[in-house]
Amino acid sequence: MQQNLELLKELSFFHYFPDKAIKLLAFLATRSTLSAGDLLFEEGEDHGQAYLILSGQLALLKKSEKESTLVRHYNTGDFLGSFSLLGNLPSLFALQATTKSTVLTISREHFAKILEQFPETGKLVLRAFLKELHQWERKNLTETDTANLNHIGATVL
Amino acid sequence: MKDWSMKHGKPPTPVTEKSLLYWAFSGNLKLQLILLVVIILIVVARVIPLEMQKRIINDSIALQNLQGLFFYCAIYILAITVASALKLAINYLQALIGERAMTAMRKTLYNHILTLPLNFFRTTQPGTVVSSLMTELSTAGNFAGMAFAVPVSNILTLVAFTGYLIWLNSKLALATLIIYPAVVFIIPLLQKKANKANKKRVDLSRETSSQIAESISGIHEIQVHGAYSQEGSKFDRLAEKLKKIRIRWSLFRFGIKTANNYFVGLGPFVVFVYGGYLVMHGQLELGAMVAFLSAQEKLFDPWKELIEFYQAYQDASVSYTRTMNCFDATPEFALDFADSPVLRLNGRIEVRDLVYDTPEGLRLLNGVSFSLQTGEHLAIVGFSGGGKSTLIQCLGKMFPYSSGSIQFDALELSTLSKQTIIGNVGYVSQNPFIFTGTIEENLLYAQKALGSPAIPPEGGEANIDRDRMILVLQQVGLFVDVMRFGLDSQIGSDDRLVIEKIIRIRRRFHENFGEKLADYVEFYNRDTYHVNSSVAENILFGTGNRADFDYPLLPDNNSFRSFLLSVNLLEPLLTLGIELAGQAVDLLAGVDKVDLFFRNSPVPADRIEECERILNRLRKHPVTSLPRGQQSFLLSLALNFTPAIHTMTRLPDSLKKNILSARQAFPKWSESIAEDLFTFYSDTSYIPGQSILNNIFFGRIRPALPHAQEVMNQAIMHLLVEEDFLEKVAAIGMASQVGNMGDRLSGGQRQKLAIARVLMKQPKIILMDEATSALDNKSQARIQRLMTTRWSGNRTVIAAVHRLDIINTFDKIAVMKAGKLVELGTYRELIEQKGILHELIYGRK
Repeated sequence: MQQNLELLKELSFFHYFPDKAIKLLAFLATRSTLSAGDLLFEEGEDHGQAYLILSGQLALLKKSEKESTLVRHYNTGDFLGSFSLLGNLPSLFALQATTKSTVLTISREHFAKILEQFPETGKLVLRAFLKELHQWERKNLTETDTANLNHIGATVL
Repeated sequence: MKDWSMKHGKPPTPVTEKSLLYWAFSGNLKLQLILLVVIILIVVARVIPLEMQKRIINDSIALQNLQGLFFYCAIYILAITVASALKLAINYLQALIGERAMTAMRKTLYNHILTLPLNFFRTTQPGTVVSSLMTELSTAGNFAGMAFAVPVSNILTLVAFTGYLIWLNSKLALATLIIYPAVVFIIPLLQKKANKANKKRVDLSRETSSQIAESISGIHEIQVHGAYSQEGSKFDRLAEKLKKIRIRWSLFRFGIKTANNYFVGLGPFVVFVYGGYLVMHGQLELGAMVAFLSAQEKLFDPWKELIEFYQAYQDASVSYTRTMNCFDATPEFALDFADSPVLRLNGRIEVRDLVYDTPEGLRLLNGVSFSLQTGEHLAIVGFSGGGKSTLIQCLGKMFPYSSGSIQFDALELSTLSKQTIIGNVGYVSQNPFIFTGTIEENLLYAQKALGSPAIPPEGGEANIDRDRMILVLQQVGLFVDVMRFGLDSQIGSDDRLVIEKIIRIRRRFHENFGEKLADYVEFYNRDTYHVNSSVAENILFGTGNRADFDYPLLPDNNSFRSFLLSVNLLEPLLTLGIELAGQAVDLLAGVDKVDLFFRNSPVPADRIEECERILNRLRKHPVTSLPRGQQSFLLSLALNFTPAIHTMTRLPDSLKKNILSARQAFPKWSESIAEDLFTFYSDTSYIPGQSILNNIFFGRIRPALPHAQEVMNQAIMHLLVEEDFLEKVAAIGMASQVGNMGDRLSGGQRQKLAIARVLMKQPKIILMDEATSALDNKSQARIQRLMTTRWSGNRTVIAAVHRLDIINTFDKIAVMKAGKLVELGTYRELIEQKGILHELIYGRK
């Protein structure tokens, strides 16, 4: 748990969380080991979990017709799925371990209980979400060419 | 609206319109007759002592006739004894009739309530039903017991005593009896007021019960919002009102009693004044006057009882009519289990211009038409509030439709008996209700309701065998879960054959999967520390064979403590206990006692405060100064500590080493206490007190993702089949309890069980109202496969569906909006049409 705590504290997502809340979160989070090929969640599934990768590599996949195409890889230290913590969100992708990996999992159920217990975290979470979204789109804007511009604009939704 | 209740001859009077007296006599006629005979006997036995009194004074005492005195006294005592015995008999008979009447009332009314239309329950709180059936009917039941006995016996006694008085002296008798008519005028006046108060009381108690029921069923919301005072004040207001009305009611009741007592008390006064005058003038004998006084007094008892009876009658009829009025609705559909033919349908469905209006006048379905051939599958999609559920429920005959027609096999739904519907139509709701009991009981629930083999199952096989249940469980994808329940159960250690089998499976498991599954299972090994087992288990590496060496009792066991001391573990473990208590307090003190937070806590929620007290004390005093109970508590924390579960604290390596050497020393020590005190883990013997699964593994599962569980399930299932052990485990699994209303099952498991429950009765028509909404993708796909391979062309399916990614396997899709069918066709047609379905799936362009 002590290790979990230190890892979570480093994440920008939980930056302003009160000490006790993040401690509880670290306590409730679970570590699991995945073998290569294990699926964390499938397309369409509302898995309701966020993952911090402790070791190994995961692949985000998108099914088209019969084949799955790789969207991108995630590596040690990446934190993903934070949006699923807020509420129902059926996944548009599948997540699969490509090597033997360990992940730290935070579930929506736990997260919701913590928000309930520490009402002041609600605002912080919202702020973190907006920041995340903003950064993501800014990064995309600098990387994509103009042909794809009409596919972005999540921040003006 | 159509006439839904089909009439077969003259309909019986509905239960709610039966009079209170009906219950006293129906079915109790014989008892009431016996009662009448006893009553006549007791009246005779009551008059005799009066006459004896007169004779004792006039014939024996006055004439100094000793023999006569004894003779009359003997008759006197005999009469009194007989009267008492008879009174007991009357009370017994009364109670018997009362209980029988009340039970009959309860049963009939309850069965009536169960058949009431669903609309009725929207406006009725469960609390009302509970208090009506349990509390208010008991008043009525008590009354039913006395409805005949009390008035008859008391009126007879009154008549007998009055007759006797008139026979003694008609003038004096008339003078004393003049009081009673006065009473007859005043009492009903008071009673009317008491009745009014009582009516209010009944209504108010009912309101209060509903309030309680509402608060308790919404307890989550109340606690989450901290609305204690809000709910409290609601209740307080009602309780205060109830108090006031009850006081008023009591006042009138006692007023009646007092008025009655007062008037009757005037009786002796008349006897003394007028009787004394008559005696002085020689018109009355002294003995007769004494008899008169007694009779006068005795007159009072039956009179008082009659008045009380009158009150009880009024109270009872108030509660009774209020209760019955409350449930005075007629079932929408005749159940006619017995006399209407139960048809076997093919599953063709034709719906024309279907309209449904709620009783409040809201139009939920507005001219829906479609038709399906046998075995066709229709998916209903659309916006929420579009009428999907209403349509499904109309098809299941849960509501009567307002106009239009629904035909199954060209037969109008309204003419089909409910029994035919129950036998042919399966309905699965989104939030299925699972009953408290075992999985098997829930599985057979719908099928049992069919009762007699009115419709023999398709195979012609009447008895439901286990194979069929297993098949259905496999079809809906619940079998793995059931196996899991079975594997997680324990079996008695005396089942030799099973144990041998398990050991055999264990050996094969280790041969085949030992290495492969080492990541998922922590196998037992005498030389390594097991982080998925508790400290105590790590020390013992076995289970106690005597009750006082059970794990929970170890911290208090003196000889075990001395063992810990001898291997230098007592102090480190106490320190570990303090550490655990400290961590738990640091993390969890002050947070709500939510199960979720405490699931992985070494300290249970209700012991956190105790930890705080202990830690406070330890700041100033050494651990040895703690009272014995608190030391044991700390020790129990340490002994229960399981690093893989209680992640808040780490177990120091030095302590691990220490524990491992204690494990080596333990068997020798246990031998020194008594032989066979413990059974030590060994890969050739069964571990009692642990689940079948742990026994097969000879180890414990590491907490892991559900996907890992699947890998293990497959491995084990395979072995179980080979060892012919699968059915046994499945049977154990099916016999496991689902918890209170199924709360031990997940949402998906509950839905699967609900689908399985419907499949067990093999209906031709299956109605599903978002029946798979809680299922994960795999389970969803499995049901999908079941529909396309097994049901297609065979069972007609109508499913309200929320998830649009699963509808392409349906034969037809219907899109509903505001109570209307706006699109109907095959998936391909509708997508090519680029209408509403296209918009729903791909979004607005």
